[in-house]
Amino acid sequence: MNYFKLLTCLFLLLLLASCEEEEELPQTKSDPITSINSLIGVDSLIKLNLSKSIGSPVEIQYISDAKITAYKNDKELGELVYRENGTYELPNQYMESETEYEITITHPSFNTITTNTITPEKILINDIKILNEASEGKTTFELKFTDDASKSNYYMLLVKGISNNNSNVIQYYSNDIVFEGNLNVNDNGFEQNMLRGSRSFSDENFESSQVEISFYILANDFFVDYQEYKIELYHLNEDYFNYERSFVSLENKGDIPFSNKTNLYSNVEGAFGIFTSYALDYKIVPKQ
Amino acid sequence: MVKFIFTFSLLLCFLSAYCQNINLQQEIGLPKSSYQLSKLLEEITNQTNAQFSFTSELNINKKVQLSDSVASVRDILNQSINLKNFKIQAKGNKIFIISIPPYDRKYRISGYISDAKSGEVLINATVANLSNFTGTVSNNFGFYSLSLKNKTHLLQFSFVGYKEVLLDVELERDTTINISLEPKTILQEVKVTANERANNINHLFVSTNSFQAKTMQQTGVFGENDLFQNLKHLPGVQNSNEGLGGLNIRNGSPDQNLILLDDVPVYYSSHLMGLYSVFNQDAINQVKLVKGGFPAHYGGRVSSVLDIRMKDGNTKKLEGSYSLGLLTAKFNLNGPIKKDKTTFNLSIRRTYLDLLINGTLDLSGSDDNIGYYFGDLNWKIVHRFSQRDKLYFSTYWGGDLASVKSSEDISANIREKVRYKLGWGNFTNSLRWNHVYNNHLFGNTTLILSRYTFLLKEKRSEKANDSDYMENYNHEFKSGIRDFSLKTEFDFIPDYKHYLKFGLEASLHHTKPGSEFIKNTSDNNSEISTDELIKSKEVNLYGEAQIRFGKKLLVNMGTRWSSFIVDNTYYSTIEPRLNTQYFLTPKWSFTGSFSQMTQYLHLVRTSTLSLPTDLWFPVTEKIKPIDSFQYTAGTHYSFNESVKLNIEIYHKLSRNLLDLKETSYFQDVNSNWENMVESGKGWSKGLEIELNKNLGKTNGNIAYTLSQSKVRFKGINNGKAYDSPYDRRHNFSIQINQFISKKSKFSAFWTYGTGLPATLSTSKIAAISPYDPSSFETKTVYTERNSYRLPDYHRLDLSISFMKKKKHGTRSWDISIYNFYNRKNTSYMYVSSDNNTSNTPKLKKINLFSFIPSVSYSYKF
Repeated sequence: MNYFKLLTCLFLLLLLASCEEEEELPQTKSDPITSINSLIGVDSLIKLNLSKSIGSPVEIQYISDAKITAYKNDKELGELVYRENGTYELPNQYMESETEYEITITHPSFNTITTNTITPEKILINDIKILNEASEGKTTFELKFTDDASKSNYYMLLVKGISNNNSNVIQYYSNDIVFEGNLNVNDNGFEQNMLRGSRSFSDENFESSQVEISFYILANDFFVDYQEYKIELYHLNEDYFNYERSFVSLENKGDIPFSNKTNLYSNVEGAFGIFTSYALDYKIVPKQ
Repeated sequence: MVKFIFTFSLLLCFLSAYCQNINLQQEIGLPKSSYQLSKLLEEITNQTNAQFSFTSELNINKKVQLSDSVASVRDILNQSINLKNFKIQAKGNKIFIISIPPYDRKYRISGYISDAKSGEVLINATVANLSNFTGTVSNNFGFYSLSLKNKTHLLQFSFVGYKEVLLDVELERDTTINISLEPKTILQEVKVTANERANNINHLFVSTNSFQAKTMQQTGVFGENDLFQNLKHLPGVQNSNEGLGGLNIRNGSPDQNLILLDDVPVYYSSHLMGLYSVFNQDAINQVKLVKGGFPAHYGGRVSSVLDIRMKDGNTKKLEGSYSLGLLTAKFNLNGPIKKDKTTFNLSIRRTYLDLLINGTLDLSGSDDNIGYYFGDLNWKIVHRFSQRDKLYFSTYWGGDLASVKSSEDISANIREKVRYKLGWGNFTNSLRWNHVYNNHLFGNTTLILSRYTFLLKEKRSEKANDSDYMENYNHEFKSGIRDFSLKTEFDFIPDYKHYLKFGLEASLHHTKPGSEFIKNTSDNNSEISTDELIKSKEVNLYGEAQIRFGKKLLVNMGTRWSSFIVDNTYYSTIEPRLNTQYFLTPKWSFTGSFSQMTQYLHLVRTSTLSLPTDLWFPVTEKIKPIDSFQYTAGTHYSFNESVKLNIEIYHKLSRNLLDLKETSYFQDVNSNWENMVESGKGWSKGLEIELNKNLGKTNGNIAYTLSQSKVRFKGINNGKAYDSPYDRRHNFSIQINQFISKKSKFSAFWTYGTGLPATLSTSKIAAISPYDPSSFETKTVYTERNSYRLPDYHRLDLSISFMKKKKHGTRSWDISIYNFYNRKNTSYMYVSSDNNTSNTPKLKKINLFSFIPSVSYSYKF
């Protein structure tokens, strides 16, 4: 419960006297919208997904005949090859850290689209400790890494449960100040409430370059008996950070009445979408 | 050329004569402070060799008291001789004291105009000299001043809804006359008087509506007689969503309205998220809405000024009222503390739904408690020290508070109690001192404190078995704005043709985007506290002159210099203002105006409504102040004292408006708000027609507005202009009040408006999951802002009141029906696939406030 919910309760009081009507959607007024999707890790192949909305509110059409060219530090790397389901790939070209990549997309049905990203460097996990508080059904982790205080840095932390060679992203909680407003247990403030569930954070609240973050998972949250946990630390660039937050924000906003109508974060000129990068380090720790 | 030579020769003659004249500026020393006038003249002659020449009318035997021992000859003579009866001229070594013929002598009549029954001052009452149809109007404190020649005059004091007073005066000296006007009973029919020419003297009608709170007829949801509901029957005034969202005036957003309560700016003017205004009718005397043609003494917002004056309190006797409605209970008490010297006015209003709910929960033995209420307290005390000095202290406190208390067993032996509180409200104070410096000059100095606060509290405590609760979590969040201001303003009225107003305002704005305190005993970082305060300063200087040219042309011209400093950023603007009114006949006039307004505070909105969570921020280096330029032209025709027709057109251009970027989201609104918003331009134009009848058994008004409003932002809607959120093409309303008898009254209000623009998404795009790059979801995308429209809006409200005189007062039953024919007006619409078997998205419309009957009881004593 937080004050946004209280406001919602107040609003619901007003809605008691209200009613809802349903109608067919009016004819769409917008042209087809092209969208680009690409989140690429350092040491991964350069690839992206290209699709467009076709006027219908539910259907999406893949674009298979676009010409997509990749550039590295302003030098052409080559043309991406179409694979399937809207995905294009540049064979044998792996992303390097701290390098600028640019993509241009041309197609007869739309104007040229351009976007770029600068890849971050990998940040290593120095240490991870696991504490089992069985009585509370709680497993606590303590993660340590070194932040480069000379730059603005953005991170994302994912916890995955591994069972029979399958891994799933699982929910975790934290009271740590670095997650201020993100996670369910310490959400507060209207704007932060919109970020509940967000797993990204910035270095804004770091007290020193030696960062130590405590977080925990609750056994009751999942039914699978995971033997191991994979702790992934993503070093993001700012576009990725903004995208993750806007993604979470849109999910949380849902159908809240009177909310501002905003779109997903986009760093693409001439279309919607995201083309950005990350560098990942992880550790696997066995269940205790 | 001939004119030039003639003027130049005259100037030379004047200069040569001046050179030979005795110097009246020559300073002399006087050994005594008190003289007989003849001795004083001798003393001046001795020291300057000047010879005096005067008529026998001058009383040279009178005693003269001097303030300074050293002064110029002119100052000494000015102190000693009544300049209303004599003029002083120097020629050669002679000083002539010339008697002004009696018919040329001017004296001044001044004073206050008030209601004869309550003693409340009447603002904008007319004082007219019926012999030549010149006159003046009373100011915001009921003060008037008029200069007249020394002969018999017939003066008419009048105010709409009051019996006029005719006064024969023959002035022999400056005179103070306080006038009380008797209110007309509503059932008195309008009498056409022979002197209607006097009604509109010195009244400027440009884009302004004024009314007394006691004439407010329009009830809102749950029968509450609300100020904002009463404003919505005026042309150019609308609300953005039914019952919610604040006031939109001439297509401006709610934050662009300057709302003043006894000169204090009120930052959040609504209760229950915009359903009601914070202004309790019992506490208000007069309301003035200015939509354009802003005089220079108003500034700081770009759309409108709503100037609300609280009641001073009855000067004659103690009176009051109480009422009980479905939603609120109200109480008012006002009267003299010391008759004709000190008065007070106390008004309290509170909703009581929470008391009923919690009483029921208590009876059921529940530990849980949930509640919401809003309340207001208005307090004003006025003390008159003398005819020349008055001191006012007024306070308003009002707020909304929602709270939830609950407790539950979180384990076999531990019980947790949780308490949430969410509140917001205004606290305003003003201390004002009125001083009549002389019969020409009226001054008002005001000290202001205004505070708006939004507050959240969350507390958790636990207890084990039979022990006491121990607090283990405490979280507080606060945001808001606080103003400290000093305002001094002067009205200078040299004669009936000129009315000058000038003043200075200095304000300190303390903006708090959000301060937090978290104490968590179960965490290592047990206490976290963050605080940020943005300090900014605003200084305004203004001057305006209302000048009457002949009997037909009235001009108000002025300039406001505003400046704003925040951090190292400084903005300064010169805002010119011009209003003109030409009377073709005494009943028919044409008006025109131009005004530039600047707004240095931006409201960053967290939703499409006007919510208490919205944050005020001062301008920054990147985000510039909003400027608006408005032109109006209109015509006004008075059929009689009661029936008036007003037609006006306006055109408004605004710069540096803000809107949320298409891809903005709430990250850290406190520090990052500049990057969330986009600045752009807006323009609105409209035609407003209003026909009103405000007296008689049947009264009411008809208003129609035709308007268009567009905005353009570089990064929104592909840089193309789109309809502003407040673009309502047609807006029509009719209000009729019918007195059935002395004991009952019937009112009907019907309104129609074109649907407001809405942004809908009918497209979805593929979006990659930030946690798994191989997984995709579909996400809604909005490409065109405000490209759809809500359905047209209309509703009919009816109310009937039954009054009865009782032993100690008058009781009244008010029965009202909101939305009589149960029109389902859409407040909000969105696209959703929920609860839909075919998974096909549908358009969903939410309708608020259908047929709502209500009843209230009130008693006035």
